[in-house]
Formats: sequence, structure tokens, C-alpha cells
Amino acid sequence: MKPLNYVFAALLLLASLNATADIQVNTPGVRSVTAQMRMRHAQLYPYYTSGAVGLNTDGSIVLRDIESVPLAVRHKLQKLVDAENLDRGRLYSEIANANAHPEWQSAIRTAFAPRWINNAQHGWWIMSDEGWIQK
Amino acid sequence: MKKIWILLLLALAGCASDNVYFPAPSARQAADQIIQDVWQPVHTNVREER
Repeated sequence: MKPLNYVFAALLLLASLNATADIQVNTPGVRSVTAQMRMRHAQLYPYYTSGAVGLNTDGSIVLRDIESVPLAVRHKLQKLVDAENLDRGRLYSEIANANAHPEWQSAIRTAFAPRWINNAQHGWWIMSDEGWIQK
Repeated sequence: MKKIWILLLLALAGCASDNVYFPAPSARQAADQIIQDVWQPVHTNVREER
């Protein structure tokens, strides 16, 4: 085989590798974070529908209407919101590491942010340019 | 002939560095998959917080 042919073969191989450059999310680290988030969602769900908790544009959640929450659960709800935001950060970093590109963490956060809002149920509160609006 | 080599090597280098570009469409797809998993429909028998 001529040397030139080797270069063509390498080009073809690299081109095919690039075509299948997918984000990998099926790792034990990612699964462990999402399992925690799934359990927490059952507790947060009533507060999304009541509007006490809203979705921010940066892919985090916010306790936006604390007045609507009974005094006795305010502290617990704040802790749930904080834990959820921490886990979302952990999720983005787990995905970046799983793909051997730790520097992708902020790009992954940016990719997730509009998807949270897009997947939110009708009636949930989301942050927009005009402030809080109901989806 | 020398020119072809240089062009090919440049193309090769370009392909190799492509791998550091963030695959945004795939990331959006992965995001949807994860969000839908995390936000599975909540069953009505979930205990309400008081």
C-alpha cells in the first residue's frame, strides 16, 4: 500500500469517528445522580404545580414564592431546592467527565437549561425576559 | 505531489481536532432523555409534604 493510501484510510476512520461523536450519559456516576433527582422530584412536584418553585433560565430551580408555602415546610423546601441545584451541577460534571472532556461542563449546562423549560409541564412557572411567567 | 501531502496532513489535523468540538445536538438529545427520566410522571399516591 502506498503511504498516500494510509493517509486516506486514516482520514476515513477519523471522519467516521466524528460522525458518531455522541454524548455518553449511561455511566454509574450519571445514574446515581439521576436516581437521587428522580426521588427528589416526587417531593418537589407539588411545589412546581403550586408555583412555589420555578425554573430559571440557567438550568437551576428557584424558590420563587415562599409566602405560599406553610411556615413549617419552608426550611425543608429550601433544602430540597438547594440539593436539587447541587445535583444538577453534579450531573453536568459527571457527564463531562464521562465523555473525557471535563471542560464541557458549562456547555452541558447551557444545553440542558432550555430543555428543562421545554420539558416542564403546562402551568409550571418559568423565568423569561419579562420575569416569571406560567408555561 | 508535495502539495497533496500537505493538504492531506492539514485535513487529517482538522479531523483530529474536530473531536474536541462539543456535540451540541447530541447533548440536547441526552438532556431530553435524562430530564424525561428524572421527571417521570409522579404517582398520585406520593405523600404530600406538610
